[in-house]
Amino acid sequence: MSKRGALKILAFLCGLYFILDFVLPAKLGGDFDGYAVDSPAPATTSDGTAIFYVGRYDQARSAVGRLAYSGGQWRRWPDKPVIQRSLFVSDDQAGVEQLDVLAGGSGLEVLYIGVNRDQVGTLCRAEGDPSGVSWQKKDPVRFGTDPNSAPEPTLEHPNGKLPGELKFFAAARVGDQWQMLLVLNQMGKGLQVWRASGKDWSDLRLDKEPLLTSKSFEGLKGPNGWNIPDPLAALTAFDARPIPGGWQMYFASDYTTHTTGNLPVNKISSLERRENGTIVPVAVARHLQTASKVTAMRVTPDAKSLALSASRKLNPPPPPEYSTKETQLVLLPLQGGAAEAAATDEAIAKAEVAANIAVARGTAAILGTTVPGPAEAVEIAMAIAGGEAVAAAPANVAAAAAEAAETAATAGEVIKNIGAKPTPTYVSRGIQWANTVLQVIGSFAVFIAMINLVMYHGKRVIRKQKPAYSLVFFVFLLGMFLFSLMAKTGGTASGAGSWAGWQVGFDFLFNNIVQPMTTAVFSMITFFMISAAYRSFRVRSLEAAMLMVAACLVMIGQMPIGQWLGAGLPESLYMFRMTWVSQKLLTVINACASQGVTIGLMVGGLSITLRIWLGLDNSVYSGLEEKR
Amino acid sequence: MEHANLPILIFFVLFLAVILYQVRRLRKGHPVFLRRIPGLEVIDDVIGQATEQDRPIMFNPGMQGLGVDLFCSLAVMGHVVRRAGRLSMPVLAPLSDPLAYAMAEEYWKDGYASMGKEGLFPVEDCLRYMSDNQSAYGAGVAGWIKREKVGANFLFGNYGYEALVIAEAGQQAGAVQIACTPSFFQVPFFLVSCDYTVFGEEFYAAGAYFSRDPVLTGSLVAQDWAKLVILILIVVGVIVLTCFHADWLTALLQY
Repeated sequence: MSKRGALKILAFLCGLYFILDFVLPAKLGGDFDGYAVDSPAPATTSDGTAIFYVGRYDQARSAVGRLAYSGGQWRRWPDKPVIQRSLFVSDDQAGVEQLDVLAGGSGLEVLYIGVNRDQVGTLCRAEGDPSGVSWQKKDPVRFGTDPNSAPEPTLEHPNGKLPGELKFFAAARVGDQWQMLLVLNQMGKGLQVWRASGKDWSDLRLDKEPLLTSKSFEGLKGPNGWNIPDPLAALTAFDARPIPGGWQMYFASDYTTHTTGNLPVNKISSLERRENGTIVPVAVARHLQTASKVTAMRVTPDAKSLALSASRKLNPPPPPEYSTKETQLVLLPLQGGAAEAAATDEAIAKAEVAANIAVARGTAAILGTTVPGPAEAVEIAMAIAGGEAVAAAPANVAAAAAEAAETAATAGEVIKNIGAKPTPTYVSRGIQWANTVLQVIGSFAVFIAMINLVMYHGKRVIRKQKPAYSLVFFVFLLGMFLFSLMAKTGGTASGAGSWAGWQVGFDFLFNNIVQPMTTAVFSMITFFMISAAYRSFRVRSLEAAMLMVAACLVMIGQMPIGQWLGAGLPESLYMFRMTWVSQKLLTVINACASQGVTIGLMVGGLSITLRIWLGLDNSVYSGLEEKR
Repeated sequence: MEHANLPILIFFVLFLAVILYQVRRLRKGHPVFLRRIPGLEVIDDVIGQATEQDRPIMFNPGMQGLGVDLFCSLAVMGHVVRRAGRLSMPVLAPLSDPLAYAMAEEYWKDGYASMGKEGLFPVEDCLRYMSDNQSAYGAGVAGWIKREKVGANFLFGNYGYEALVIAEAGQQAGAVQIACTPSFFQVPFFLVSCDYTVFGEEFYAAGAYFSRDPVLTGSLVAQDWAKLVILILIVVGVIVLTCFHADWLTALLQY
């Protein structure tokens, strides 16, 4: 067999391997929730209490599963998802993000945030039988803001036009009305809590103003006088339930990027927002281990416990077929009222020391009136008031308090490993190895390039053809190599501290020579653009004239003067505004042409790839061709 | 790695089948019409013009590593080197990727060898690894163009902002420039700086255009069929979305 033939076969086999990896699934078997579980929503069904949850098959696909309590533990029943992603409707085509189950007229109702392929969320709805096993999808919930007209859903906004992107929601039946709280992300303003209500899911009316914004928390203090941090600034999960005269809301916040020091960074706090506008912190909260984060939570229908999903990053990370996070469903006892009662001024005053110690150890937790744990801690009463940890405990048993807090922090029922993990295929396992081999081959090629440079400049030095420039090359090549090598290895080889000088030298060369020169070349483009534009904008043909007119319109539309021009025009003449013209040129005409070219490029690229793979294109085997 | 969904898998298999069918059809001698692409048509003339002026020819394969685009660039480079080799003219080629350098060397040597001009020019003088840094590459190529007073400058490949630096240097050196790129955002710069600009899918058609090989032209015909199918899907999708206010086609294609 000729060299070329052998190479073609090798290329075909390698290509086949990569193509199989592309077209075949990366894993086989496993359950629909084998990748991760999330967003538990407890509900009372005709078969008793059930927990509905989001099960993920991979990062891109999810469905709703159901857990029933039997044989002393939570088991999946039925064994398949009860609500699956849609085939023909894009609203929930990628799956489900969060859900809540409510008691409906004749059975159960589920509200869930369906996500489409672009990861945009829509509040979807389904109706189920009293057991919650069989579900039928209905139209998405529709929201309106105009009291005089019905909501107008569009393909882009199936829920009607909301004032922001939907992040979290909570819903409840109050009398004959559905009440909802929506957490919306409004561009430039952050998260806001909005309220909506109505008798029909197809016509819920939003309030004119948000119920809560970050400003609502400014100056808000807990009973101990500490400032209450804004939970919306770092919100990771949300739930709420209506109470007489207002709403009680639960916020899970991750303050990792907002606080420093020993303060706990993951917490669940709760507050009440009364109808008169006052906000009252409630003494229910839970500090979590800093490594884990609450991703979703729901209060049980009887308001006695909190179902939440907490995830933590796995270290070391597992193979890509498996989730890089371990997510657990947790059922926590909810003792808000009792905790509030315990948080008296006297108790708080006594407990601050103990609380600080507990918090510093990263173990502070909830709690109610009595903490289960070691004998010394039995009488300790701890509470969390105003979103901050406060423990009602004698200072001399602070350590015991911390230990008790730790015990309590792990209390609660944990549900994990619901679904079977999938098995990665041999193709997907081998592809990592193949990619590593490619990287190694690529690394060796660097030497070929370096040899070329050394030969070229070496020859010029020997022949004395402007040798100064070539000597500069050798000086900087050796200099950067030496400084880089020593900066990386000098610390361990020759003792601590000695590497610092090499690092300074390397930084000097990079920051003061390489970077400025890079910036200088980049800045030259400005002058080149001007000279090129001058040449091309001379109107020599119809095409050049069109190019110049379009360029001028776009440029003027982007400038302040363009916004000023036509700003006084009436609304009906909007198409004469420069900003409108400029935007349409860019987003319609230009985008159409760009997408047309992109489609052509993709098809062309695919065509040539297949040609090379099948060995049809001999031009790639240059060097092995017969001499002509 | 991204995995194919079902519609993509079906499209992939159908496309493969159409390519094989068209290749078989053209091998049997069915005629095929290839429209004229001015930027590719004049390559031989531009090489001749540089030869008359006794100025070297430069071929830039762009800033790309090992991949489909590099193969396309190097296929054209092979053609340019053969034409230049016939006229005993040097072809300079700056490279930005070590693997691309190794491959380009083979194409370059093979091009001259096929014309019986092996060893006419030293490899290390004509093929030079510049840098994988955009600025360094742009500045290095611009300097080389001006020092050597390049007469013909071919820019075939992927480019970033260094495109304008190189093309303007060629313009100032008075070189005849032909750019052919799949980098959509660099097309305006090439249009104003180069004498001929080829972009989009024509970049991938260049190899077939020069060789007129039935295998390569067959795949071009298959490309057109694929684009027709995509066009029909777009039109049907627009009608379904606009008139029936339903996105089931979009959903189905994304499933």
